[in-house]
Amino acid sequence: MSVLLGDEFRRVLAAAQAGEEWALAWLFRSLQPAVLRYITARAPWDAEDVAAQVWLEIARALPTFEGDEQRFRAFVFTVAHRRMLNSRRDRARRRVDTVATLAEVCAGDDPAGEVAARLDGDRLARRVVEILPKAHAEIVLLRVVAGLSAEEVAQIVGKRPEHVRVIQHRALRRLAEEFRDAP
Amino acid sequence: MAPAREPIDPQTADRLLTGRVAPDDAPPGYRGVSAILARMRAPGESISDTGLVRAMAGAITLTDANSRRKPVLKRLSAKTALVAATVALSATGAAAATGDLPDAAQDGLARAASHVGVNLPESASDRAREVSAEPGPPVAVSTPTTTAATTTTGAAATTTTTSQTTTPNMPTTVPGPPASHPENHGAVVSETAHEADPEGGKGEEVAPVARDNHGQEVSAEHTPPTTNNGRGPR
Repeated sequence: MSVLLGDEFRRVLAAAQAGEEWALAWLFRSLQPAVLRYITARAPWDAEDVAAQVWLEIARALPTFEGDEQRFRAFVFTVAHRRMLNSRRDRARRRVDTVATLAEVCAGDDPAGEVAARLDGDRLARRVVEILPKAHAEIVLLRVVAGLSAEEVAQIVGKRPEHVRVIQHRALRRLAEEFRDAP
Repeated sequence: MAPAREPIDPQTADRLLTGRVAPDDAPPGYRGVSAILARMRAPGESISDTGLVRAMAGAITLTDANSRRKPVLKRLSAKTALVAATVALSATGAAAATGDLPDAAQDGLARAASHVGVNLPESASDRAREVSAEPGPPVAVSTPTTTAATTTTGAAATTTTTSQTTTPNMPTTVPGPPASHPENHGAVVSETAHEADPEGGKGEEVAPVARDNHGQEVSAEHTPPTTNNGRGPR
């Protein structure tokens, strides 16, 4: 899947587990953009705060973490997924209207292709969330932005891998209708 | 005009999602999707947050310190629990062996222990019953006779003073404590005098009691034997 460090990961992880700031900074820099993009797509109102909570939780669990780089990635996005859901629940409890926030993402009259051409990665992710049903968008984000396998995504969202594959297939069909003119 | 969209198989869908299909190689109708997904996948601007990284390092140090302390606490807790359990068992065992537990607990333990061949004393009240049932000097005090006497034999039957069920029509001369207390002799005599008919024969009634130490003769006259489940003397 998405390997950034390769063989170096073990050494960086060991240093990070010992609390070495340079190693923690490395892990943070390598994954934070994707984490932030993922959270921004689903909970844009306080994405940076949620991302900070994610990293602090990861730090607390880091001394006991075991696994390779891909597993670490899955671990990070498992935490991010849970924190994002908590944020959405909090937001729902506070009964804050999220429509306005979503409306900021893209203009209503623009053809999808034109909109897509203007949007950067973060905004595209948010556009995908707006187009797709929640469960479908979640799976596409975890597969594309987080770079996880269908099995890893299945574990995070609590579905069977086959079910994840069915959903992602439908999601792509829906996106193809929306973005067929995109460059 | 947009290219006609063809259905894709699951493998192609998987390859699109993992970025293994370039937009130019995408199936008809999926070129736009491939381009969008590639941009979503592209790493964003590198971010550094010194404050957050420092906080992470602090959290790790804290977690590490806690995890180092925990096993010691766990060991201590285990040891403490073991010592507490040993002390509790020993104390209970010792109390049970000497019969110092509360009556209900003592009886229960004694019964349970008897099943495994260990003899523990019974509760104080049971002991009192047993003592009163042992052969000994009979007593004039025949309070309401009891079913507890059913296990006694011979003259000892008259010593049943801790009654549970009374037998009507039985003469009650002197209610009082068990005859095993010699210091009760005075009380027995006093009570006999109090109960005696003042009109006549009071002295005759009291004298034997006072003379004969616990009034064996009185007992023989007024208290029916209660051996053999109250069926009378053998």
